[in-house]
Amino acid sequence: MPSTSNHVKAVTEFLVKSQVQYLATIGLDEKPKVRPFQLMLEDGGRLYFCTSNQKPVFQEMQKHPHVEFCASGANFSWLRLNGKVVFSKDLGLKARIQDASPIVKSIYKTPDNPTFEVFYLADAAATIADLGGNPPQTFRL
Amino acid sequence: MQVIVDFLRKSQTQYLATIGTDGKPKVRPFQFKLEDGGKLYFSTTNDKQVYQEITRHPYVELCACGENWSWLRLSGKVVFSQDRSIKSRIIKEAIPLIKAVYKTPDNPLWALFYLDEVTATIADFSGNPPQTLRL
Repeated sequence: MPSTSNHVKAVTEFLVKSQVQYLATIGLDEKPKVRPFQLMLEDGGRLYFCTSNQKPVFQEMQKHPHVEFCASGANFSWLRLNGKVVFSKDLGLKARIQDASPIVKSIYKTPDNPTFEVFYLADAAATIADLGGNPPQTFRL
Repeated sequence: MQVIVDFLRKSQTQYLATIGTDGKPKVRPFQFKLEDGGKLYFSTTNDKQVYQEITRHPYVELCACGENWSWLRLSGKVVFSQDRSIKSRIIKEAIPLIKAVYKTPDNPLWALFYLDEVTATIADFSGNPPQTLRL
């Protein structure tokens, strides 16, 4: 499973087209949790997401940093993406995310908002199935 | 209950989160089958990874989206059922794809389950806070 920028591009395009992804975590009660989520941007091969540290999902990812995302595409295709959450304090990146998403900007106002958290996935692996008769494809990003 | 059933039906696809056999969370597209006697039924086949996962860790959560950014989260405990009448109903009412997969209620691969200890949260972004219901 070689890492290539083509794989990152395919995953990014799938996520952007899907609009909504579903993020699964292990809850503080040790039971699985899942909620709608949204890719913010891809930068240098890393997929970035954001949340608020006032939410349970933030506490969950602190305790259990391994997560999985799922999204659907056209013709019953689907993508599963897993990895280890790494938080970033990069203010330049936080500003870019707020510039790219009016909703995020309206919630957090400024990149240095202390509740605004940005994370990417390390050790990411993705599986894409297109139900076109081909078996699902798994690759490391 | 009817609100939940309507939301599940309209969403068409739900996303089922489980704890993997590696202890990490897993999530994949899933599909609500039917409601009967206040129970929400789903199904899979016992040759899949997800079957191993829900056998080992029966607590699961499903999430689905609706119109206008509304969403539903549904959590509970998986209880397997061998109820032939439910399986027959699923075959009768299901889309052709499901019929093609299961064929008969006696298919030994068929793993039918419903959720016990159900909690549902619906958020409609109408300005109202999310509503949590225990079923």
